[in-house]
Amino acid sequence: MSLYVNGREIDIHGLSGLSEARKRNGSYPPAFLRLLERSARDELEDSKCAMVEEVQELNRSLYESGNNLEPPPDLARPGEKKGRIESFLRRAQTRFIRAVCEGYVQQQQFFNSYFSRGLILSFLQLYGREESGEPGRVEGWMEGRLFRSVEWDGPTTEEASEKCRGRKVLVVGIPSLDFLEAVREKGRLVLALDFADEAAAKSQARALPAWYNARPMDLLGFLEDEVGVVVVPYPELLAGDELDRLAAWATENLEEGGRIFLALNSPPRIGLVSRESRFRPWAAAYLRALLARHNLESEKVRLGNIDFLVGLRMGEG
Amino acid sequence: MRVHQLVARLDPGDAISNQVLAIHELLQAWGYESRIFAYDMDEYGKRFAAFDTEYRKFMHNREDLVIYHYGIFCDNHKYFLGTANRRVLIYHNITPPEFYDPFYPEAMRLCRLGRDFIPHLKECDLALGDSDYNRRELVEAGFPEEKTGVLPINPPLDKLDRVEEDRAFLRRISDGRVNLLFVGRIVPNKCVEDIIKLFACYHYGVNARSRLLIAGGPLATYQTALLSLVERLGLQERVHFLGKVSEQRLKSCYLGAHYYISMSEHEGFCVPLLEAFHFGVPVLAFAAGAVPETMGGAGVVFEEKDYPLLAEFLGRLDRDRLMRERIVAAQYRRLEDFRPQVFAAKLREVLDRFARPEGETPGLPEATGEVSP
Repeated sequence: MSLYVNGREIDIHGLSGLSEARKRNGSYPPAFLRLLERSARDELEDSKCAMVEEVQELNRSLYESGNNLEPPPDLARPGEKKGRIESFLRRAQTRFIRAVCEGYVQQQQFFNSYFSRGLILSFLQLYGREESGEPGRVEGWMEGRLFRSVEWDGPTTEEASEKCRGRKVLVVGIPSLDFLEAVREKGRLVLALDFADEAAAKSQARALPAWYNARPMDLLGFLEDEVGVVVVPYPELLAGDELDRLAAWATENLEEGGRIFLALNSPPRIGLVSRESRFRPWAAAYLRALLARHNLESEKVRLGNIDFLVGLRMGEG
Repeated sequence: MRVHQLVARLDPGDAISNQVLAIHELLQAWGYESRIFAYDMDEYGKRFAAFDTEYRKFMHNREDLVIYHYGIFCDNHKYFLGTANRRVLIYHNITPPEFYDPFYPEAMRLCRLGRDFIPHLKECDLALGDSDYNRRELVEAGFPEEKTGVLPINPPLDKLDRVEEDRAFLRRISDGRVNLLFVGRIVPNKCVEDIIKLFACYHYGVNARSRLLIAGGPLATYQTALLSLVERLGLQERVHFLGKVSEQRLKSCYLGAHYYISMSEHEGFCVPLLEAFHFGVPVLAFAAGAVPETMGGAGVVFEEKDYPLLAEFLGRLDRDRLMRERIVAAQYRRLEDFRPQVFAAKLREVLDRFARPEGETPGLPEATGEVSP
């Protein structure tokens, strides 16, 4: 590959080395790299927007049956003086079909924007800030509240990372960069997921594989290999369905003898995470029942200053 | 001398319409009787143009000059072929039809018709491309090389300077995240899916504090495919399809953007590259069609779409302020070639050739790609 900056070719060996290193460290899992091979045509064929597909199919059928959707630009027939009516009607028909098609896509976007904004306003009203500020500022403010979390201290980092020794590890919620680096040193960090892009960006700057998503569980599909350990430092920041999806995924994807560590954050710690967050005080009993429902045996352990509920995947026998 | 311009559509915002209006403005300033005729137009276009049927009454006049802007198949070519006026063709290029398969069968048909029809237009006095790439296509289509030349597009950058930016939007995107920008119609030859893939590598591998802004009117079926890809990649929150934006918002996009990305595989000129140059946004563009020519040795050009590697390069640019400044400085220098005065001088050259006494063959621009003496 050649890359020209201001007309001069630059040496790309360093960049190439970096991108290869990221592939090796897991920043781009194989399932992700496969998506980079997909074309827009593939997407159209597998599109999830069934209504648009229907309209497209209708378009195609009309076209194939000789009904050109866009009439020829010469709207008048030979010898016809004001003969644009018929073409106009056909054109109107086309535009209607196109409007349905485009309207659907746009409506979807409007709905998404409306929904997001509604969510933000509800959040503000719920917590007593009824002003309707700029969305960007509001989101920034929310993030400040939502994602302020306590970093793990040295003993917790040391003991928790020790449990990852020699294992492939998935971290859901980044407790500290030191922890991720310790995991990388002792085992293999498959991926760290977080819903704070700042934490993910800081990890990426240290060449750690970290992805951001507001619903991190949506990214689990990219992980195809089994892992040995799943660490969840802040389960109280996951919704019930997210926890359930995570436990189900762990059941399927933990190696035999693999473990999932759910931190049992104590009340003072929870307080620091913030009362104003989307924090959910999951009781230890609930988490234990959740693991049991997914056939994971659980036990309570203390690593450093934090208690964890550990779900263990037993062998088939 | 009367000068008529014939065009398929006259709408605000698109490159051909802007070119038509720029020529119209100059012609009027120079005292020519200038008219615009369009097959179709919106309310904005109606302020400047009449329907092309009106042109019929000028067709018999051998003294007049008609400039035909050809960028899509349109039935008003018959006026151009049948006129007694002296004829100048400006070719803006037509997208190869295969790009539209399977997204828009009718566009395929029109593009095929349009490209197939190019050789029929060669009986003109002068054929100009708005890039040398377009001029070469004319030569390949059978136009005598000595009858061809280049009249580059005159990007209406000052128009964006005059509008006030959409401040609320600019505040929203100026939140510390890195903004990648694409501006243009959301159509398959622009390969917007490749921009999304590059963004995915940048976002997941290099800088999670980032977003992609895509500004332009969509082709619905193609955008559906793009939305599906975005969903599959888990990037719904960070890829923003803005639709066709107002000039105010467009300006905000450029002001808030950190990089402009083009992955297009077919371009006859690509005005947004110059807009990005104008607003000091470093441009990274895939070398296809007229893109390298428009870039003119400024900005970043690449010949292969290695997304992870390009993402690393973006990361390097994030860190290397000096390199960014050098790129932006070169882009500003390149813009000098597209100053309105340069465009006006080249247009003047074209007109001067036709101002010669009747019967004398107009001098034609050299095949170097420039309209020159």
